[in-house]
Amino acid sequence: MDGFLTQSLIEAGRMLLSLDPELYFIVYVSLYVSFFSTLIASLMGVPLGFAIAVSEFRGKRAVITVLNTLLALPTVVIGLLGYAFLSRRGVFGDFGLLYTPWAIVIGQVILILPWVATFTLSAVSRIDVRYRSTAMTLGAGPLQTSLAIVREARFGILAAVIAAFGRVIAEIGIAMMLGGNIKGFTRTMTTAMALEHNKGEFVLAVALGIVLLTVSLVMNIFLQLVQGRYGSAR
Amino acid sequence: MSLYVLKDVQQIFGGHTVLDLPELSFEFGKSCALLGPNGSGKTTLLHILALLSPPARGTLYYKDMPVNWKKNFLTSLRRQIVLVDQHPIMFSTTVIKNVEYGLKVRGLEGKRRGWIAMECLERVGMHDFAYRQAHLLSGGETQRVAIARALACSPEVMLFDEPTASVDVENQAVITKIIKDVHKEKGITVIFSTHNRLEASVLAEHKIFLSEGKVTGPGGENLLPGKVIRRNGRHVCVVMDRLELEIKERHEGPCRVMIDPEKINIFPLQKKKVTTFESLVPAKVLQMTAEGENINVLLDMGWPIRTVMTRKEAALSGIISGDEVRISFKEGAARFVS
Repeated sequence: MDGFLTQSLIEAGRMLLSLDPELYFIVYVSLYVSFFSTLIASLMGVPLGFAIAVSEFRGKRAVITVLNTLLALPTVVIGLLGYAFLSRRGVFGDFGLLYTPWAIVIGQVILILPWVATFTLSAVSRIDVRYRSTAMTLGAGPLQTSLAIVREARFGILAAVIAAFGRVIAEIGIAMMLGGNIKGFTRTMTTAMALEHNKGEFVLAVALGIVLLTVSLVMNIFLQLVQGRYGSAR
Repeated sequence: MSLYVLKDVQQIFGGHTVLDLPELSFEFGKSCALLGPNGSGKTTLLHILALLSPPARGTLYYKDMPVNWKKNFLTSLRRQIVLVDQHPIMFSTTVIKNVEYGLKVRGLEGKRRGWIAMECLERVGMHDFAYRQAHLLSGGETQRVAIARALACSPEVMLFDEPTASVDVENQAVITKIIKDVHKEKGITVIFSTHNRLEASVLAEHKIFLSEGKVTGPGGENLLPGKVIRRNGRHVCVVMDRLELEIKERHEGPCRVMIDPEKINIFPLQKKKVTTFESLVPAKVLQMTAEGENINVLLDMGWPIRTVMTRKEAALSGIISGDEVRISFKEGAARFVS
């Protein structure tokens, strides 16, 4: 077993170093869909989480409970619902999005939107209320005040975005059910790894596993660097 | 001209009225101290005056116009007023960027912002700290930067919430001088809350005493707890089991009374010819401070109490700090508060 694993690792290393086009296209598709789903979810989730945190309205607790519940939404459920809406017989079937990278993006946005919103809400709620009154008394308008608060909560929000990216790059259910694992088109790192595993071919799977862990490592190093540069003395 | 007029203003938190001001006004260009114990409503009043929180009831007039509390109208008004908190918070950036913030939101270009910010930092003696991280400053330094940050906005009104309460003596003196100079040189209206009577005397042309959210009038600091009993058909407030003061209100049970400092007589211990000497209350002079034409005397009678003497009376009595004295209360000295 040890020999098998070592051999797979060596072969995977060779594959990575030889710049295998199939391998790198799979990595590209994964990064592409994860980037856009995280971007879209952040553009929607950060303002949503911020708005819920700073405003008082009837049913606020219920909204927070719903968001928290959505954190546990299984990817296969999103895959099924997405399929129902995007397939030819679905409401959005005419757009022909099923089994395209954008179908994966849509599903992943649904998956991580509650994550980004909830963690933004949590980060903004922890910010000292005096930041708001300080910005206001110094002459900031409503938007400028909001931006001042977001700026103070930036590390928490950035952590939420990175966590969301980590979630989508490692998920498989949506990519498989809405993307279809089409070679050279919608095959992502996770779906390729599952396929290679089923085939009993471990070299590509191990190589992709290495890339996946490296991406995660790079994202965390980036977060640590940003926090260290601006937040270490806080 | 009145800068602020408050009419029937009430602030209610959690069903509890924390501020109740039937009528109160602040003059333009004057300095005013808000005095009162903790929980008397000073900070709540400052937040209303800073247009940060609307009153639950009543109307606030600013420059003779009722304040429209809708968000869109407030920003332009707020840009004339700045509140410096008791514990100011700094944005997590450099000192100079904190001071520039008010100018940035007003749309001033970068070079001019930096120039004004540096000038304001120099005024508070913090220009050497301009490029340090603001959250690393000490309490006193933070308070000074907060004042510079407020000054940079060129406000017409500066509000301070206990500006020297949480800083050391050295910074207290610096901050007091800055506030005094700002008011004198720039003619900025200054309203500040404080527990420090001396600070109020040095900085303020007017004093307002608050207790339990209400203006109590002069002497508001002489608040004593007691118990009202009926004796010979009169209502008498017994304070600390030894002082009996008649009150007009028909209340019985625990209460708080305010004693008018101008209705307290002080007798030096040597004056043994005072006829009702035994009925007088012993006390010790803790502090004597000049306040305009009068001398403010802080006495310890088991409870701090203040009284006022004219300079002539003080000179004739020969009383100095540390003396044992006797005090008596004139008719109507005590007023029922709650």
